Amino acid sequence: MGSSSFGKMGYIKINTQGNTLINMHYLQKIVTPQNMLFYAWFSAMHTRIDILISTINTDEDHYSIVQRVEAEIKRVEAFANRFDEKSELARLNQMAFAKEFNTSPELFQIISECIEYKEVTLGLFDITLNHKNSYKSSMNNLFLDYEKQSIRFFTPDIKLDLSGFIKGHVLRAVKQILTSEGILNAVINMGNSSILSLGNHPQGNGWKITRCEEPLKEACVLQEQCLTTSGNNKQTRWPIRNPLTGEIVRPCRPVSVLTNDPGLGEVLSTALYVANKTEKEQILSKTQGTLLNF
Amino acid sequence: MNRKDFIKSIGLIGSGLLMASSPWLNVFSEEKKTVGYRARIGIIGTGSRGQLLMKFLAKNPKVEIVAICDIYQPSIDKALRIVPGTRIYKDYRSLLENKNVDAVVIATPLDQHYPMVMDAFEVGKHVFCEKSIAYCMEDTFRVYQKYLNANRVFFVGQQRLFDPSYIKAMEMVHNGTLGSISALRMYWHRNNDWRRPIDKPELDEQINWRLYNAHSKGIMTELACHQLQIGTWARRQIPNKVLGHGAITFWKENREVYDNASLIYIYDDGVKMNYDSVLSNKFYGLEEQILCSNGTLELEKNKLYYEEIEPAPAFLQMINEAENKLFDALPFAGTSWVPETANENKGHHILDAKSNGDGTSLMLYAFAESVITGTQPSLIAEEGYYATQLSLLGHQAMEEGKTLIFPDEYKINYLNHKLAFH
Ligand SMILES: NC(=O)c1ccc[n+]([C@@H]2O[C@H](COP(=O)([O-])OP(=O)(O)OC[C@H]3O[C@@H](n4cnc5c(N)ncnc54)[C@H](O)[C@@H]3O)[C@@H](O)[C@H]2O)c1
Repeated sequence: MGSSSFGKMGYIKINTQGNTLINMHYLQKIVTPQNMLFYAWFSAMHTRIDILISTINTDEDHYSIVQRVEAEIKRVEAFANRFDEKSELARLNQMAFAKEFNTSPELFQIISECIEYKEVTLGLFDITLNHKNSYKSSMNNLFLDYEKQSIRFFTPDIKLDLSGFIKGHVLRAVKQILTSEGILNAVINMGNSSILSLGNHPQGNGWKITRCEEPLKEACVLQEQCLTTSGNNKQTRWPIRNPLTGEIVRPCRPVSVLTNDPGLGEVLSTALYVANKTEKEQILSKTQGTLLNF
Repeated sequence: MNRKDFIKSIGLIGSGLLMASSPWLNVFSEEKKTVGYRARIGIIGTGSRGQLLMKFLAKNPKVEIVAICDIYQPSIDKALRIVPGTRIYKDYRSLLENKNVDAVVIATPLDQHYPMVMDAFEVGKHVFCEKSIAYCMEDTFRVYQKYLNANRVFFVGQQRLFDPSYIKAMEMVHNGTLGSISALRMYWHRNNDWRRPIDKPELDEQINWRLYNAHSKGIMTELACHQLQIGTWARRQIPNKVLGHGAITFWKENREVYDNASLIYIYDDGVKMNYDSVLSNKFYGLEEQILCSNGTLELEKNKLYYEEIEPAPAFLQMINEAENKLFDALPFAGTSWVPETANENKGHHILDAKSNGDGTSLMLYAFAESVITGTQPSLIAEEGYYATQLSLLGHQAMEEGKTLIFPDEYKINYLNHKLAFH
């Protein structure tokens, strides 16, 4: 059996100006004179984020790029995590019934985009939860003022939950950062459920990825695409519910979709997990996504 | 793993960081130039360790075992099976007179080391001495001074210095991957009395020398010596204070050395190295644990545990196997991973395949290289020196029941003792 090593390894812990704690491990390995692999991982959004970059072997520092990515993820997490009392989303959830809540442009854009997806997913993707009304959709009690960019609830019982979408939003930004930094080949994995690929694996076209449990019929090759997976299992903390009935979808084979846009991937994988066969066909006919193993 | 694989695996060639962490590995840089040359070695003490060393040496085409010496016929007989026809001596002084011997390997009981090393340097031989160097701190100091003046190669049998996974681990410790060292915890537990069978009662003390105060300092010189060295290697610092307690608690018959010892070595900055050994329970075995602010190392198990968050196995594997140039699928997609589901931190291997062996083989290759070139590798003698001195100081602390400070007169020009050195 051959033995091997990781090459250079390291750990970075710094406070950025915005006081975000960067807390990241990395490994770097020069594979050939033409290829270097750089892998960094850290925890954010209640999961592990992995970034793997494949580049020509240069002395260029990838730490700063990955730090930018981490800072971006933590910035989004800071305003869109409903469990963090100080976050903008938590404050909105708390105050939007009493009076209209003026949101940041970014949060308003996210919420309005999520609402637009309601139609194309036949109402199965829904960011409103009404915990007093057996968790059914409460979209009707939500009012968006597009001019003032403000939001108002008509019942005290709803909470907006962006966890089914936010990783997609983050991945869009991450893609932009990497592209602007000249990174052509990379994989970004957000907790296994949302994976974005850029360019190629050092030995092939695209990136070949498969599921760790409940394997796909065959590994799928991502070409500048996203692989998004949704499902409930015993460990799921916040299970996916059917917004029309309010019921938790009983654990079954997870759903994986391939999309060009990470936001759409989040929406589709969630909605298709809830959907029955006819609903699935209907949703897929209206969107640019591929359901794997279907 | 053979020597070539090892050198490849840790990226020895051209790895600046690695060399900074374990500079004695530089000894292999001349490997090509020494082809065709021979280190002519004499073995003094061909008991159980001596035979093992001989087996490794005999495999090296750059080594010729030209002589052996032992006072016990069964040891000689066994040694002859490894190197038939070699010259036999009953008195090490006669072996030292042999002009065909360039270097000696000393693997006799602890109390015998001092005169043998001193005499060997006196007649200009290179020396490999098994740990611990000598029976007391003063003798150990004299040996080191003798070595400095002799201008000859001096190795001490601290083989972890040549164990690939230790070398890799130390690189990570030194380059900050794991943050700063918070604590060191070393232990070596066994469940046996160390006693070897004897035919005649009058041979007891000779065969079972480890059990008697006149010949050995038991746990400290036989076991702790290896592990205390890890502390110096990792911290690049010598602990200046030690306290401890030793006792005989289980093997009460025919034994003078402790079967139960606990010590605390204290560094100047307050970081501690704890040492434990009991010889009547083997469940936890042996380990050197390095507890760092960002991770934990278990060196005997070749394991690394990240403190904050574990990397994804699929990515690690891909990086590990990158040389194989496979376009394999990365199997990691799935429903959202949450830290709670990874309730057990299983850790990672420091090196992918645990090297077979513990560094002894490579250490002996290094010795042969050094003997041929006549060049002493950096730090080897000093690491061996402090491993022995810390063991002996710890033993003294247990005997006296006191907290002891490292005596100025035994400090040498090394690490944090440089300043006090005069
Ligand atoms: N580095 C390691 O991992 C390691 C492991 C085991 C032993 N050791 C060390 O090796 C040394 C020997 O240990 P061992 O287990 O082989 O002991 P052992 O008793 O098996 O062997 C010692 C040999 O030395 C011989 N001897 C004693 N006095 C002699 C003399 N005056 N001249 C010539 N020969 C003499 C004995 O007859 C015996 O054959 C010790 O210092 C021990 O600490 C090191």
